Amino acid sequence: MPRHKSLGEFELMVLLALIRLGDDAYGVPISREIEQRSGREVALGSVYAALDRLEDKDLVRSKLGDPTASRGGRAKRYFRVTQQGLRAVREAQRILVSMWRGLPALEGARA
Amino acid sequence: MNPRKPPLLATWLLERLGIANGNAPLAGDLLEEFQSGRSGAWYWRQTFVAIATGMCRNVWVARRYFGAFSIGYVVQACIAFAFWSNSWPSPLHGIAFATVAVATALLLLGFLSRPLWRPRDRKDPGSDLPNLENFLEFAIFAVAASDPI
Repeated sequence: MPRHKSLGEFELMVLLALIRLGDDAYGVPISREIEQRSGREVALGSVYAALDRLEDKDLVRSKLGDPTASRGGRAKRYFRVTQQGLRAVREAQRILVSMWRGLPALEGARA
Repeated sequence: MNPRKPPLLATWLLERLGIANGNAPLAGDLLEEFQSGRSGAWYWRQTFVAIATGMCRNVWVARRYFGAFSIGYVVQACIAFAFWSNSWPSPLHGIAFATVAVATALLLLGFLSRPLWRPRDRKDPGSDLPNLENFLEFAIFAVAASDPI
């Protein structure tokens, strides 16, 4: 895999949240999903920074929704994972599982 | 019932520093979360992070400017050194001319290439509108470019 397509931990979490959320993935539900599953507060600015990086790598695409009054006339920016993004997630999973497999220290902790 | 209003100063800062280049949906998300019960302190924290990450991003985007000006200064230094070491007549005129010429060329190059840069949100027609951040960016580079050797 080319170096520029490699994923950081937070980028991987964002991609997994996008896959979970499907069509309704914009900033608020993405950050809530990560917060609920990781148990730590997530800054929306960091989520957008990660999404911008992922979009630069063509791993996600975004489109603007309609502006709404409840959001001060600002539109939602919806994100979805591309085929390349799905491949990158699968590759990250494969590498991590491979690294985890057969580590006695971790197997002991699991028991 | 009127919706809660987020801290005015934080919103003002966010709109001018943190969400440049058309990333207005971030401000909408923060407002949505604030109105669903988040605290003012949370809004301020999120604003600072958004500004910091936005600025880091802009430094990366503006790397061509930094590169161009570094090259420009090296060129100016070489020209100045040539005048000084050869004791050519009227060196100040030459240095001033070279400074102005190089600075103008770099500024023009930077602004002409700007539309080629990928904006954060290509579907937002307002994404390339000038704002305070763009102005500050221009002012800093203009001052740097006009600094004589």
